[in-house]
Amino acid sequence: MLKTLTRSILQKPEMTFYGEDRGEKILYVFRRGIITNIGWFLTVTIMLFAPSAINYTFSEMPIKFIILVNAFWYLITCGIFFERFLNWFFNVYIITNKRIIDMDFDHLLHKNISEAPLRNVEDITYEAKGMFQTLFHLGDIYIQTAAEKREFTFENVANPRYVQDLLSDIVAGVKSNGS
Amino acid sequence: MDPNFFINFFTIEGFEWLIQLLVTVLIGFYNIFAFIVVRQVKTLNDSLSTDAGFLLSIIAYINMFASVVLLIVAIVSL
Repeated sequence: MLKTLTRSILQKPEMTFYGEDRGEKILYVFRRGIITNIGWFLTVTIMLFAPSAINYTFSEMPIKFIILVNAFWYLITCGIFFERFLNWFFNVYIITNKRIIDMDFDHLLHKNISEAPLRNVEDITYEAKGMFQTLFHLGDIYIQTAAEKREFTFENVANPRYVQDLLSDIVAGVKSNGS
Repeated sequence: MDPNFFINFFTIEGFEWLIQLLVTVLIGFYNIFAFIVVRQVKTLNDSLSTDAGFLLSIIAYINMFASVVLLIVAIVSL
């Protein structure tokens, strides 16, 4: 379970998804690189130390109230941690033996799922730009398709060159089999 | 209604009461957030079923339960 919760590239994971066809198997699941969580992780860490400031601000209030505010603050901190983690965890790019599925989960109230058959994939390129992506070996992968959704973008994927090569091999395999 | 109700707002005790009321309202809003998280985790687990799904659901329910308890405590201590 720890692997499922922490890895950004999962090979043949124990997962199923809504709309999975009979005989369809998940080959890979990609997420944004785990280092992309550093921003909110630092924010949450700072929030954990904030109650000392709260206690100082409300020092004149009854002790019962201060305890309540502290408890609420830690609850908010946990809530933000959980919500951000869910955002990373469920924002996945699934490669099955039949298709590509892009599950976007931007925030709590927005979800977008698109898919394209592997045989419709025409071109796969990757791009690593900027200091952050270069430093942490991340990149964006662009997949051109002949399907309804013309382009899929896998953002901030770890080891993009490897992922691009992998995807190209899978697509080539599917096209040569004619399935 | 106590005729001194509004006058009491302009005392230290009145101000403290207002702050407590504000915090209670904020906890109320957090309860809505916690409820949405529970619903969303359920929807997401339906979309993508993983071995961590149960754990995520439990965490979402604990978060909601804790926020409800906190709201009750806040209302009682008003």
